[in-house]
Amino acid sequence: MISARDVIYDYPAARALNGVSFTVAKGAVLALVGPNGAGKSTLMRCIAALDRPTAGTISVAGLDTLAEPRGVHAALGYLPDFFGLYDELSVRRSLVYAARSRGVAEDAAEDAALKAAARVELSDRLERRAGELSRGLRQRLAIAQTIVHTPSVLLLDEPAAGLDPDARRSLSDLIRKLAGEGMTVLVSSHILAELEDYCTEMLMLRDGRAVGGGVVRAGSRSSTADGPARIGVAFAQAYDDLGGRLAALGLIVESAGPDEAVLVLEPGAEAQSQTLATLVGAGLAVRGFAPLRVTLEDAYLKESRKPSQGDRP
Amino acid sequence: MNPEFQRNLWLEAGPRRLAWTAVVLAAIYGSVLLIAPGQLSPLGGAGLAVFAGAALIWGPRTSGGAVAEEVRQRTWDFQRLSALTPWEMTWGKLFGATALSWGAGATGLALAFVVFVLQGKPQVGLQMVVCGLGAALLLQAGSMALALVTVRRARAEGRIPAFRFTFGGLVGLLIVASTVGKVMPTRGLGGAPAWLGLTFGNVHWWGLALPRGWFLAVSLVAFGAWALAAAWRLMRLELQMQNGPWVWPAFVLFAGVWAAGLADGGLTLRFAVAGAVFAACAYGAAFAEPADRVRMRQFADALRRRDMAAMTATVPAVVAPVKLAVLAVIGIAVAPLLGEGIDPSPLLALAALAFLLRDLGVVAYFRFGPRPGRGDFGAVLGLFLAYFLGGIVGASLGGASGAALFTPNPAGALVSAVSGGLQAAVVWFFAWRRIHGPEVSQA
Repeated sequence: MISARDVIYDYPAARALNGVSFTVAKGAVLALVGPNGAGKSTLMRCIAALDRPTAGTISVAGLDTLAEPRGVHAALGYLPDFFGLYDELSVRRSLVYAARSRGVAEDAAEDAALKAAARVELSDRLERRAGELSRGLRQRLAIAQTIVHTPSVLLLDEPAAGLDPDARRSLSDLIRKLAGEGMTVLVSSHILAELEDYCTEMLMLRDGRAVGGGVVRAGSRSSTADGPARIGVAFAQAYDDLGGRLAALGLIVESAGPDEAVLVLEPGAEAQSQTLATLVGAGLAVRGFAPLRVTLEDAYLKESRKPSQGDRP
Repeated sequence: MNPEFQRNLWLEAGPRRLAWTAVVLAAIYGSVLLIAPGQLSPLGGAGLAVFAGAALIWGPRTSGGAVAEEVRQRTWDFQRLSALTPWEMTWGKLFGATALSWGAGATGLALAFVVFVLQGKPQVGLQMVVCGLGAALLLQAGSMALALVTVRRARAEGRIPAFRFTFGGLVGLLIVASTVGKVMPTRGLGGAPAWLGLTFGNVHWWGLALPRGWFLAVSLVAFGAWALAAAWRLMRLELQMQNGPWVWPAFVLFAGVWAAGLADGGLTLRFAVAGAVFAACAYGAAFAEPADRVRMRQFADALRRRDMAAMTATVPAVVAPVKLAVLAVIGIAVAPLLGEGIDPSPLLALAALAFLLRDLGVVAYFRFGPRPGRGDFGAVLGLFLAYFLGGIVGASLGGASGAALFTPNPAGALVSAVSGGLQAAVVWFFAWRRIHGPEVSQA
């Protein structure tokens, strides 16, 4: 759905993006992470066809951002990190205008506006002026304006900044829901915890370059996908040479201490139940046995140690 | 309805604002009726004053502000992503944001027209209406184009745009008033100001004797249409669309031909006047375009590869007026062979061209510097020093011949041409070094 090849972007005195390449599949929720100044917002603006890359190509929904920028504009919704609203307009008028200006037919604009308002739970505030809304409600209105024309790609730049926990939860739910409906979502943030709930992929930028191998898929950081599962096992007592004892049982040991270990198993529930039975059968006092989920932060730290795209080995 | 027009109406022409405008207008016209009861001329004058204030000062401010406010409120990117066509966006903003000022101005213009009709001068009244509408379109569309130029420059130069539309609108008003004053220097009617073109007599344009008032009216409408085209084309660029290469040269040529037609002299002088207009357009373009190194490098690359499509997409706006200025100089050189006069001399015209190229190099050198935000000031200061200090140094070297080293001077046209050419080469050498490198650093 989104494909970038060797994207370079130069500001007058600095290179913001330096050969970034990646691909995002339809329906994915990609976390675009990296420290401040890494190039996340610049990359988003290039994907949105708002800025022209100095070199390289980007395609969105099969459209080249340089050759068909207006088609790209129609295919996506983009919420910048510092967004604005028409403070003097009511929520209803803001959304009707957003719908109309995004190409929704005049007779369908009101319905589209009401639907978007319902999705962000603003239906009870349709006649309030945008300028009267709280920070969280303004964010919801901005998102509603962004999705009112049901785009196939949604770009959200730091969408949770300044939101309270309830609003963040609502935002997470909304993003999951949109992704579930087939929308491809790209979310940038430098706060990893807020991306944890809904992102299926991650792309890390550092100094304008994609770190490591580019996009890291959920399967490589989660135990629930088809890849090998990492299981944390805790024991009720300490054992000498626990690692050796586990290996002697035919298990693959990633790490082991006196009373805990991390095992790597074949995917699937059957392998896990068999392993548990093996441990108990060997007389080991198992008190905990749970799949380990690598957090986005773990993946981030792991990726951040890898070289960037274009770096010499 | 155009959604952009409708949104602007929602914002600008709400019931409260309409009511306040009506109250202010009623107060103005009521005051005039109380002070001079039964007299038509003061009422017509008040109408013209209202029109000037609403459509020629307030209107340009709001039309430029229609873009500036979007940037300030951080809604501009949202607009740039819209599905509206550039034309819908342009006219929606231009006539939506100024709806109230047009409404207020229309009352004044209509009142003044009625007064002229009642005074038995409907023709003059009609001229005034067309002039007023043309001037308002010129200033309002020009102000919006200026705002779009500002946004575009700031983005390419990596800085926050600063808008000065009130100043720009007033300067534009002065330019229009000045132009009108020159074309219409004679008597007014019914106490109306002469700059509104309410005069009789003819203006001679390319040998044709044309009624002054109608010539002015048509000229204002024509330049207003060009301003509207400029705003539309700049809006296209904001929406990431490519513009064709012919409209800007067509405007420059139009402006040159229009001005040359007013020159009171032979073909040589007309070429000189047209050349001066082309040069003015080149200076304007040199400041108006973004200092975009990447685009300049792409143009140079396309030039090397002789890739016409890439060249036309990236060619700097300054190139067209310079080419036309070269043609004007050739015209000045050829005209005497056709029996025309030799004033100005071809050598002097060549010198002026050389100094134009030098000045454009100075502008490029400063605007492509490491701090683009200060480029305009640096360029103006550089040009001032080049002429002012150059004039002092030249005069100290030996009168007119010395001065000819630093300004196009008829007393030493050959010296001026050679000196200007050398200076242009040196300045462009340094300017090109700035444009071409060094490579940008890592962010």
